[in-house]
Amino acid sequence: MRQRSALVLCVFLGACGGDAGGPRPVTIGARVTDENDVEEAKLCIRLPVLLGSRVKEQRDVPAGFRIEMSAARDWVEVRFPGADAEVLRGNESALDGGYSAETPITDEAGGLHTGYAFTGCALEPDETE
Amino acid sequence: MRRGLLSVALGLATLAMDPRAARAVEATPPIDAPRPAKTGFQAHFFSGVALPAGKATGEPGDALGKRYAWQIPFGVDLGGKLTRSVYLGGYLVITVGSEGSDRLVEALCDDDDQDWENDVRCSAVNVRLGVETEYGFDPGGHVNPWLGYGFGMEAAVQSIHDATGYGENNTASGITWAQLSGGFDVRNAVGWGPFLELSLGRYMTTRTEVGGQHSTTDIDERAFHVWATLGMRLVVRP
Repeated sequence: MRQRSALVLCVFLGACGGDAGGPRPVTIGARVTDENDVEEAKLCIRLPVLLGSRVKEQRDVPAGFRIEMSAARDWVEVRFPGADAEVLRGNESALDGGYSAETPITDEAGGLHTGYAFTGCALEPDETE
Repeated sequence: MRRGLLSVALGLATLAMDPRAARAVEATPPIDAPRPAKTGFQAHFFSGVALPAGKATGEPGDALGKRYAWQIPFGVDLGGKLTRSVYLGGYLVITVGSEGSDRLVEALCDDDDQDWENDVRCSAVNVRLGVETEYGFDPGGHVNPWLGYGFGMEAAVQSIHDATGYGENNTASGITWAQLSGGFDVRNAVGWGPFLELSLGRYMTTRTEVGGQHSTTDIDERAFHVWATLGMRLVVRP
């Protein structure tokens, strides 16, 4: 009975649909694996939505280099300072369609790794606070 | 009646004979005469409407008006008149408003689920702080036109928070290179009058907080922006 009343009220007031607004979570991650495809380090950030916002995070890789990720709401850039690797860049259209890229990495000792950047990572508990 | 007329006549005669009393009468200004110009402490309180113009940064599409809508300023100047015409003091302006014309943020801030609850809170606040000087062209007049120049620091904070716990704050901070102002004060016990102010500045750094993460970065592509304020001010000890 109560549900039916609520339905009648919402139809009468036209208040049955609409959008509560607020940002939808868009995350982008980066990770590094070794020659055996074993994960060495990973990083996940949530893209900002405000014009002018910038997010910058970094993670140490045990092999002696870093993952460094910079992002705005419409682009992302992943670098691997301390190692020889290409910079991975994704623009707005790439992010909209689901971004994924990878690059070979050579550390200072000559070790081989692979760096990845991709949309849709899972935030760690300390990253979602 | 006759006794009253006699009293007035005697009083006038006394005044005529006593030169001190005569000087006192001459020294009393007429009621509508302007107040003499003051030196020393002076304060201004002002409000109005502030409009954004120019670019927040040099990046494509990053106009100030896209980030922030028009705002309502609340300001105070505290300082002193060094001479009858020259004022020197500090200013603090806090302006409050909402998100600008950026379509994405406008859409995110638009809570249209008609559940009569505000699920998304969006706000924009701008703070400016600095020193300024003003020159009054007719400091002893009933109406005193004035021009001013100031400089200082500024920060603009935009935020969006929703019912799911998402929160993002973006603070752009920089330097106000020129705060040009002008207006005229009607001088009574307290002065008042309209003014126009153009605050020319440039943001240098951005601090972003998304969830628990926060980052501070220098703005590489800097650009000039203007906050144009039209308002009214009250002047203490005009």
